[in-house]
Amino acid sequence: MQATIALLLDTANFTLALLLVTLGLVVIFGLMNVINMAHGEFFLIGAYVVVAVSGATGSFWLGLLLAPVVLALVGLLVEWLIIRHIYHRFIDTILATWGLSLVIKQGVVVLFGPGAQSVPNPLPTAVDVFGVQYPAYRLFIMALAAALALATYYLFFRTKLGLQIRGVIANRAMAASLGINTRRMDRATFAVGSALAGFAGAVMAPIMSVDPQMGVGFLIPSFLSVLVGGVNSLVGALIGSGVIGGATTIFSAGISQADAQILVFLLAMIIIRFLPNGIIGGRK
Amino acid sequence: MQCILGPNGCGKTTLFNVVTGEFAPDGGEVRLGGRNVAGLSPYRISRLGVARKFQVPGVYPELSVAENIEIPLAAGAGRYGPLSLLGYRPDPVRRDRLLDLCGLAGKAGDKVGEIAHGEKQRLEIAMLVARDAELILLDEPTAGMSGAETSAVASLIRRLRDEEGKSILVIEHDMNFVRQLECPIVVMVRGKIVAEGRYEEVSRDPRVIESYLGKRH
Amino acid sequence: MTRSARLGLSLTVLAWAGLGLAPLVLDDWNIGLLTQYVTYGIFALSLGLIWGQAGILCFGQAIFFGIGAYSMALVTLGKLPWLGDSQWTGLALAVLLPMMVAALLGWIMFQGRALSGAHLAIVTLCAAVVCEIAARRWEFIGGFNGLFNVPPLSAPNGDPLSTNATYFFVGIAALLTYLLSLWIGRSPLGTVLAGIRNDERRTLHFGYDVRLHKIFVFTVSGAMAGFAGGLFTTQFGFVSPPLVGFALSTEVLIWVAVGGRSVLMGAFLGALAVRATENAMSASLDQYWLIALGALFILVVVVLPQGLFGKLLALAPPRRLGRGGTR
Repeated sequence: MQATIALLLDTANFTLALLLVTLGLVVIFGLMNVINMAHGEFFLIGAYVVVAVSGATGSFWLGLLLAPVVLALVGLLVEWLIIRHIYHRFIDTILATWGLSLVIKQGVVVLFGPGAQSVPNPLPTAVDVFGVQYPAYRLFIMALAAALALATYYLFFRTKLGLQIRGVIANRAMAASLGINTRRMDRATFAVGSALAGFAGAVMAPIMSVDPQMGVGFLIPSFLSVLVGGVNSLVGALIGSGVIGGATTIFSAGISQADAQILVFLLAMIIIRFLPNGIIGGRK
Repeated sequence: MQCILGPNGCGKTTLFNVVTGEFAPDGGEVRLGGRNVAGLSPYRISRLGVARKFQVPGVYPELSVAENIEIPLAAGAGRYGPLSLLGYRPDPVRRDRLLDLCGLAGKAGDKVGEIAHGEKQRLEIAMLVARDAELILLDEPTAGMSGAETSAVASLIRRLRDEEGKSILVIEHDMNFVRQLECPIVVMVRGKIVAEGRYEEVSRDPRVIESYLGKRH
Repeated sequence: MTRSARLGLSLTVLAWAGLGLAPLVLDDWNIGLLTQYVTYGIFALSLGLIWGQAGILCFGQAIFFGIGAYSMALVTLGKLPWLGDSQWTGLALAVLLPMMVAALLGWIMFQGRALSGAHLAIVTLCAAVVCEIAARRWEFIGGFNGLFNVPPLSAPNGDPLSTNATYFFVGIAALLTYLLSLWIGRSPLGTVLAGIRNDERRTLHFGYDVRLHKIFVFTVSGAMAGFAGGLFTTQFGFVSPPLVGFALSTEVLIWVAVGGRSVLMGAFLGALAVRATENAMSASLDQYWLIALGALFILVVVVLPQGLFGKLLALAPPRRLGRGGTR
């Protein structure tokens, strides 16, 4: 019984962390039709902001606050420098952002060295959950992820700004002729997506090994989550993260983690093969 | 060759859709070479020798004129798979004739995205001919064209009938173009034929004038 | 022939001639390096064929390269006793096994309209990652460390080929691969592949089995990549999991993009150029080199889709597709 609760908590933990990363990806991928291969590196930058800030000031929380801000700025810069030239060239967004990921990753290596850094856990206590001693910080991450997902949903579906952004995505020319500044929407959306990724990296830093390769580790599962859940849908991100996160954790409980990753990938392939528009989209 | 005229919504495109198999009719027949094909799937009707030009441009903008012609031309060999395509050489005489037909012989190497709109339309018609279809359906082939381009297309279509022996159905609004086609006309209103005959008779028919008059130049 | 086409032809012929005459000017050490680059060039050609011609963007091309390398190593190290240990069997397996995997993968991926370009890129990317993980765990093929002491290419009498002999062997293999790719690209099959790249639906409506054509070219490409992998392992003497993985898959993507994806010779020379420059970098500049390469790649994608050499090396279209037909 205890083992089951622990497993459920772990599953929720990984899924919600994955959701955090995937949300940013869906905002950029699903809503803007830009495939951001550098998303994992935005996650990485978030973690390294925490490393730098907590190293300099000793405060994790300050780092956590600064990370999304830094990433929003990075997002704006990237959008201005690179993305805005290639919106209409969908496949090229994959290539260009992936080149960007190389540059960022190597930049991090140059600045911080190739080794792993560690960030001390700001909430080192454990909390009793239905008889299982579970790390408080992980519970904090889960709560934060859920809150952020709700906030993102609220932003896009309940506010005027969100409506405008969705209008631009649905029909750019129409939106422009209705007086919406489409360029500003593009920048805003990309910045929000980047900030989400950075925030995810920052919040995950204390419980992961912070090294230049950590981006790829989340990039693959989050892309799979987007494809499995349904490309253009925030709800799809939730479902996809649930499937991928759940499968990974549950498989890892029984077999080695490497084997689990292989199985999860195969599972995702089967789902995508039969439901090309994801679980949300159903059959074509 | 037969021309089909009528106001918007009278059923011209629906007629085409029934002929090519997009819709199955509630009644009646579509006879292709004596055989009733009503209700067959579009793929099968297409393979029986029916080609249709849609309103969406049907050329490859990034490829050259010659490449555009080659793709439908090689479709016969293509039916046997990629290996047969590897060794296949399209008949140069036929290819040259197609290039002449659409008047683009001198521009064979040009990228299609860069040629004029009217030339793209003519190329597309030539590509339909390359597919060796016996029956060609053209849905408003001169939409958006100037007077000179319209005459060039009319000349091309007449050549298809006279030199290539193709059967052609044309949906049109442009009366000037219709007159240049020199073919029998059918006028539809609300799904029914209200007039038939050549341009001179039809253009004076009071029922036609009453219900619909296209652009007169 | 237009002036630029003449330039393209001359430069292409010059490049091959230069490669052929290289042993006259370079020492053994550098010829050895050049042999490696040419091997990578074959790998790049395989990607140039599917990407430049058919528009298939594969982020996992190293899967086939690696399978080819592993095949060669397993055979020549005697680990598959029922196949013997001849290098010719090794090369044959290095071509056949990746070919079959490519056919299978293509058959799965190119189903109807299930996988768009973006889906394909991500799926092949994940496949490469998973293949590397699987290779690391498979003890029979060497696990995490891979296999060592793979014998070099040898003459019939059993002696290893000299540096120059190996170079010519690999070089001629490269030339033949190039000519094969060129033949495919310049045939009506190439035109149809270009049509598929430009507008898949339209090509489908002309009556072509688009899926079959994509699987075909993907399979040929897999065979070529595997062949390169087989040649690779005889030169380096080892094979290990990163050779099937994501990193190498993306490297070859860079070579082809930077060199020129739509011109085969550009893809080939792109591999040589990038690799040679990398080698020339001193160790201290190495870490900045990767940043520069990434930036160059971004630049090429955004501003120079024909790559650095694409325009220079472009050949005239085949005569039957030229200006005005049979003249």
